[in-house]
Amino acid sequence: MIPIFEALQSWLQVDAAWVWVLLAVASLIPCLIAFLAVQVIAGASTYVERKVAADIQRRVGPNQCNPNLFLGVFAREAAERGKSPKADFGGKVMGALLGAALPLIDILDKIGGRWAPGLLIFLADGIKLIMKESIVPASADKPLFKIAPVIVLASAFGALAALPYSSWFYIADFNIGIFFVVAITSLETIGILMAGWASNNKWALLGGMRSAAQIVSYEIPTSLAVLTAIILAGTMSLQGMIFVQIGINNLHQGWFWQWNLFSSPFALILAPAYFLAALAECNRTPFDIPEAESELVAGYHTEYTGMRFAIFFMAEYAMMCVLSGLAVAIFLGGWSTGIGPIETGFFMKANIGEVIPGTNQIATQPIYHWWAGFFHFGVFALKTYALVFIMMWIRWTLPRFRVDQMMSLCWTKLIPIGLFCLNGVAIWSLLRPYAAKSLGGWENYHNLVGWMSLLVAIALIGWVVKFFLTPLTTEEQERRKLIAVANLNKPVSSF
Amino acid sequence: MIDFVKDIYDGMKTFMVGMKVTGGYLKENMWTEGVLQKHDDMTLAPNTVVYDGTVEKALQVQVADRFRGHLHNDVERCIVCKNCATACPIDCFWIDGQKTETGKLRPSRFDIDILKCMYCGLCVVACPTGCLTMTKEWWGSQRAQTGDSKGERNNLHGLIREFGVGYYTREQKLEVERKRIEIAEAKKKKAAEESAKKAAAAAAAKAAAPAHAAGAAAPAATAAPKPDAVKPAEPPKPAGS
Repeated sequence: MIPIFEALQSWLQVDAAWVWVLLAVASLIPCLIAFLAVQVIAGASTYVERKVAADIQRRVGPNQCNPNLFLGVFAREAAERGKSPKADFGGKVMGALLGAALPLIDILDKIGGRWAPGLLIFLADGIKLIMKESIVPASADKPLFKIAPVIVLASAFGALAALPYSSWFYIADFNIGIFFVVAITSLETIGILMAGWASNNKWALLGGMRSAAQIVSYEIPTSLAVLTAIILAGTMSLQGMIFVQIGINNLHQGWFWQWNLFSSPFALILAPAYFLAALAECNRTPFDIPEAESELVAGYHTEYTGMRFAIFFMAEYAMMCVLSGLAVAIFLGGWSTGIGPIETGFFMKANIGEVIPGTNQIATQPIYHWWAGFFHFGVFALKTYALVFIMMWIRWTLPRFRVDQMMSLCWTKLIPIGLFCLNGVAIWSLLRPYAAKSLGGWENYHNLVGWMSLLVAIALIGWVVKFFLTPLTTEEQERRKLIAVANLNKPVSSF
Repeated sequence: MIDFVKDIYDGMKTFMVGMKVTGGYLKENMWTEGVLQKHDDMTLAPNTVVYDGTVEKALQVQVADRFRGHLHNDVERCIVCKNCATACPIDCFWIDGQKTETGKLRPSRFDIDILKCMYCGLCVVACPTGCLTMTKEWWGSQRAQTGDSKGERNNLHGLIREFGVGYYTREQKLEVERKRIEIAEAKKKKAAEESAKKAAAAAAAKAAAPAHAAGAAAPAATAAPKPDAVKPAEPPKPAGS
């Protein structure tokens, strides 16, 4: 901060106060970008969610709101009105501009209509929600009612600041980054509880209480998984964690089996546990008991309408992205591509990374080309969205847990597993120097662990691919067909 | 400890199988015509069918294995235990029993009000003989308009599914219904006739009355000008009196 400050002051030749103002304005820019990104991601996620739901339930899903239908009608109308002699200057300009945009809209329609029919439904939804009246119930606690959605969104949005987006392109890299993310995401509870309380509605209050109980419980397995990752990496900085997972100057540098998920059996057990806990933390099915439609009308956002309701929705999708991003950063190698030669030979400008002797912590970080950051950002986004996609897939697969089932899953399954793995990792890292000594040096140790991780990775990926690629057994299919035919031919009444 | 691990293993296994089933549907529909369609083309994912209103089209629809359609009672096996009626949360069963010559109890009447039925399937679970089942039939509104019973079922009575052997066969029931309708129609006719008579009488009265009224109106009309004519002449009267 201070070098930047002094450099700016000497360059601009202005008072210190102006430099502060400039810095404040400059720091707003990433905030604005992130805010807009959150809105677009949340909107697009609603579309993806609806499409995934439709595909799983063998429906069509949204397919009507295409660029031509949504923008083209408006643009054509404006262009025609602009041509008429009655149009004023502004109308003519608008008509000309939108008429010029028509070919672009047509191209968009051709692409969008084919590959993503109904894509613009989220814009239509957003416009609808903005234009709706935002009702505050007469008996609500008005200040709390109004501030609650903002707090919920702020918790998800604040966590975005610390995520490691790419090799040089990130908002902030705190040395306590992961702690910050865990702390600020649990702020969501306060907002939800506030919304439940302020609505003055028994369903909303029940939803808020359930959410509080749920998040307080599931913070523990999440934190245990995060602690494990911290022990494995030896740092709390998220960028540092990714550099550890890329590996420094050994045979396996940059390969995907260096990621935490594969490099330690305990992390392999804990990653699914973390993912489950993350599902519970962002109130997704099967843990969506705070807003269980069939029990509580809509849970904590029963009384919310219009844009305030939309903010809750946005916060949910942003939270999904944040927790998936965190999972990617601590278990799946963050923004690294996972292919060694590309990572070390192509993207790295200078491979000057060094390990603190005796550990796997990073002393100096390797330097990357500036353009590699964009590739890394793409990789990070892809990995994160893959996890978000799995969250959606789970949502349309599993039914909702009962409250006691959910609590017992947390307290009797996830926490014991988490504690076991935490102790295991602690012992593992304690024994590491001795193992290295007996193998004759750290290089041998890293090589050996690398090869073992490769085996684990191949076994795991192979098993998952095989599991999902083998179709249901023919017996099962025949049985299903027989049942279907028998049911179709069943005598219906003589009615 | 073993139970703990086994529990987790079972949970993960069933979860993965579930994911595989939904994933199969996802894969099936994600990159096929279901998604790659133009927005104006309505040929679609398997569960969406452009329904032209025919039973043939309805029969083509593949429903799920455990689909809960209309109820069907195999009357020959029914023992009139009324467990289904007890289990039904909304009381849509009307069941009467009758002893046959062999001394067995048979339903003489087994009616299900389809208008009330919510297809929860609790009655099927409760049925001890398994004679009450849920079919895959869902096109009930269509049946009301097709077949030999065309036109007969477009009423509230049509929303009751009738089963049962006994003193009322379907034909008998229909006959009773027909008689009821006939009686009602006869009543209606009578009422109509009566009302027609009344109307005729009223009309006659009216016909007389208008003449009367006209007769009354005519003098009134003729009399109406009178006050006007008289009025100017009247004021002097009090003055005179």
